[in-house]
Amino acid sequence: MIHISNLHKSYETGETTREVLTSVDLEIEEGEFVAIVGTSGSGKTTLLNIMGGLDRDYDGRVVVDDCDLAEFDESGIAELRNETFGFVFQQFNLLDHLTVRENVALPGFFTERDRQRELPDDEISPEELLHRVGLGDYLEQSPSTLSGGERQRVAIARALYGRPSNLLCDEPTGSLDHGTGLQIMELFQQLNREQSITLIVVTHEEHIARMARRIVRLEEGRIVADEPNDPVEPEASSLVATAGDAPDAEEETT
Amino acid sequence: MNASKLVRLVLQSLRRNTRDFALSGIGIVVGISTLFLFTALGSGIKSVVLEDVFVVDQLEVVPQSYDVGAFKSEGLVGGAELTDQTVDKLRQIEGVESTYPKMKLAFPASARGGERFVGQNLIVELVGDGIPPKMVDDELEDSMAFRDWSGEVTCQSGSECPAGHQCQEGTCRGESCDPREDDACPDPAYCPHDTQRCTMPVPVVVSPRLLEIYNNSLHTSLGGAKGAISNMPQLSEDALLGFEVEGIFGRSYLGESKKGDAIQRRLRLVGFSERAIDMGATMPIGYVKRFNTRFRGESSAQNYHSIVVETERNKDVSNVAQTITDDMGLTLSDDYERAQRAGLLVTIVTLAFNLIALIILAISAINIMHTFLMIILERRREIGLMRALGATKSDIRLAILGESTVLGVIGGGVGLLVGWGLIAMVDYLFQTQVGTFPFKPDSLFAISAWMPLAALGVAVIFCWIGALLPAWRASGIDPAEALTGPE
Repeated sequence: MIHISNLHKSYETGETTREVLTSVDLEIEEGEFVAIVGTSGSGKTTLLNIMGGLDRDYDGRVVVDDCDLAEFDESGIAELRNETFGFVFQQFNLLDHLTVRENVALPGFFTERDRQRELPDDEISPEELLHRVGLGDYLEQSPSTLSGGERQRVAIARALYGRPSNLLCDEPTGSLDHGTGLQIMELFQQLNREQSITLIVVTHEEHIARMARRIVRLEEGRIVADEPNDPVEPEASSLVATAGDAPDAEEETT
Repeated sequence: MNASKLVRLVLQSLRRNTRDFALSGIGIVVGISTLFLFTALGSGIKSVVLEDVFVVDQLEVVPQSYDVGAFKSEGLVGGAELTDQTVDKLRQIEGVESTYPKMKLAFPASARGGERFVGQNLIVELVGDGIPPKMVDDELEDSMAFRDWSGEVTCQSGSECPAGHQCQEGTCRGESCDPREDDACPDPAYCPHDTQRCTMPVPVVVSPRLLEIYNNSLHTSLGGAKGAISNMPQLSEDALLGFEVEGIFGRSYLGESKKGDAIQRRLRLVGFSERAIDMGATMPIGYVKRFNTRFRGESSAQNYHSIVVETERNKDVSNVAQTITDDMGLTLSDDYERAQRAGLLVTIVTLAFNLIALIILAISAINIMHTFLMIILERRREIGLMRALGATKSDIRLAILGESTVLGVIGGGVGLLVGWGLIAMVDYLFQTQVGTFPFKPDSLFAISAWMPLAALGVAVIFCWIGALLPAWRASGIDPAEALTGPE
């Protein structure tokens, strides 16, 4: 569960101070699928970063699973990011010098727990995760050889590697074409439905937001609407998209 | 992050930027090879200076003397005498391994011979020094050849005695002989006129320096001399072994001894030794004692001219030297002071060269810093991602320092190989292109086990120095900022 109360965030540029988030109160229960919608500069990415412990310079209170983020030290917040959250970014952030499998296994370098010893039943190998997202045949390839949709699925597999309870997705379809973006969202719906992962997706695209079960609207750093949504379910979707989907659409969206 | 994960992460990261690291590593390679080369060179030269030129683990105790105008004097009452008691006291000093009393011939003597090489006999002044045979045991091929045959050689049967000797009452005694007969005694024994008993020649060792001086200087100048002496060939150690001359004890060009009539004894060269007197013949001390008693009196055979003190380790030398001079009031030969000065000079020169190597390494550390700063700029998003995935600031620092460690180990390793190659090349050129000269060593370099290890350590330390600031900067990258910007 994520509980945010009276959150303020501002940036200082020279002598001027710009308020990015103002008096934000938000509560997200376990297993929810929330879309945070807003125009560019509305503060939605900043809110996501604060929730995930990436940005710790704020006023207010952010509680994750009954723990106040402000009370975490450096190693504690790193452990939280490693074990509680999975991050998916618009730019995928895959490392081209590593193989697809190595990219997915990357969070394992920073986990403090001995996965083999402590989580024998929950262990999910990078290979299995990649099979789940439909990329089982691409284990040893470089991410640079994949299409945009495929790369985002690799990023999702990486985010799932530590079996996090929350997936924080920042414009996950922003670099993809319409169809591929929908496929990614269908994958999120499936993860949310089948594995009860809390999904928080930041997007500026209305049709993407409509696939969530709750929509929070931000305008100029304030929540202006927070309402449930009847999500659009995919038609005859293959939730796990096939490899070789629409070509890389980065050029179209940037 | 545990060590195995860190190693895997570092190796993954090193796959990229191979070219950048290779270029940065050139400085380390040059610096380490230079450092290794100069350290080994300094050590090699120092070992020649301190082990061959001045034998530093050996101190020579001499009677105290004073400079009086152009002369040296032992003072009005003479310096402290070096006797058997002195030898015992010196042996009891902590750190002393052994002591070797030395005694010079204390009366005129000369040597006649050389017909075998120049066709006629030459007569030269004989400067003789007596040492305990065990002092040169390890340097002679046949250590049994350098024995005091005229002393008391114990035996149980005749087979244990030298040629021309019999075992009588547990002692080898020369058989009676007629000196007028050609083969009065079996070789190498001979029949002296005064004793008319078979006698072994006096075994003699000489300094290899003497041979070098003859071959490199004297031989050249004698080439222009009148007569047969100009035909003298260059000589080798092997050619000279077994060479015999006639020693005339009690008479020389410069004068005759006050006491006793001159006698002739055959001298036989049995080897070359660094511990032999530089200009003269070194023989077992028993012969010198007996000759001195005969020609100078009993007392001259009881006082040694010097005592060589050998320490267990080089590092004991200064303590032993201090005990000898301060506590026992004895004097050390000038060689010790000269050795200290020479050693200091070599150390200073070596340090100066090593300083050059360290400057090269410092420049390469700056280069490495620049490379890492550029790499970190390129990897800003990657570092942000790692932070998002759970890396702590310390993980990021360790990863960067880990990469610099690998760079240091590889750069240092290649530097060592290059250094070794240079050492082999310089040594080859030194041996093939540079002529012989006194104290010419087999190698200019002395490589100790600690040198490559220290060189690797220095390489890693300089790489760490170069990577420290970049590692700190990398750990300070704000993950949110790094991840949200454009790629």
